[in-house]
Amino acid sequence: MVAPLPLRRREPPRSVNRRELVPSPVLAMLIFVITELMFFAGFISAFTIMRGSAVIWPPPGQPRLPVGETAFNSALLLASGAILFAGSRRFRDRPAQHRRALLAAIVLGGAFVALQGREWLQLLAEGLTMHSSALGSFFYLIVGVHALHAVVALGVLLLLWLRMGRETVPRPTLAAAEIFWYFVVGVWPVLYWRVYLS
Amino acid sequence: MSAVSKAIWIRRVVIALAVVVATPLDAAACPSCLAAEDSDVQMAFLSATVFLSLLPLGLLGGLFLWLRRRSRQLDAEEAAGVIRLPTAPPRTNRAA
Repeated sequence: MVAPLPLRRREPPRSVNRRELVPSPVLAMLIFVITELMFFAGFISAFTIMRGSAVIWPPPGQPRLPVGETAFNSALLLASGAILFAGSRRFRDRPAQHRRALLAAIVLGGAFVALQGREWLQLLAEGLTMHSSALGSFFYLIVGVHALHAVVALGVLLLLWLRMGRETVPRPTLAAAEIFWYFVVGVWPVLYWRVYLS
Repeated sequence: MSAVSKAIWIRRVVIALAVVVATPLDAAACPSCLAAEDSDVQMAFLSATVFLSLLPLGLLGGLFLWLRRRSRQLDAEEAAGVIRLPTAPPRTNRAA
């Protein structure tokens, strides 16, 4: 008969004085944004190759993309990001003003999405669809995925704006949501340059 | 695996390899082969390859450098006697 092993008491974890280099929500969001950037990089690369392979561009019978209108929309989106960035830095300890800047960013971002939707309706009416040409397929795929990101990010910012009105919101949570919005804003000029101006 | 089935398996692999070696030009599935005659497409493939190769390195490298800078910044703050307590986020951003 084997004698039972004596039970070893597990020592309680030593309290290690660990410092937090980056808040977990912020680090998680940064890693997520890196993966999203690769996602969009794949789209842009595929579009670049398709564009390089095309003999005639834009494809015959397809409408021109509204470069001027979208430039205005882009300005709204960039203003939204700039206001949020400035508000976040300037009103770090003044939550009422910070909340106002957040609302301004949401309104401008919402205007961008709404105007892009209007532009889509016009293009659909002019015959640019997912199946009409490679331009239509890539346009709706790339711009649509970006619009989806914008809608999700705006939803998150709106929820945080509502939450800030009735309770305190941890700063790392707010910072993570803002990083996602900066990503949506920052990736757009690249998409605009490649899809609209190329 | 029996000796017979093993021999059949090896024979199939050898035949497949022979086909791959003998008919590369007939199976021009590689995008670079398809694009070999058009310099624009070649350039597009080249730029996309360079872009997709360097982007992850740049992103992860940037993240690493930022974390290292932040670590050094905290070291400097500790050396200067600044106390920054970890974990609990400050709850000061409630709107008035």
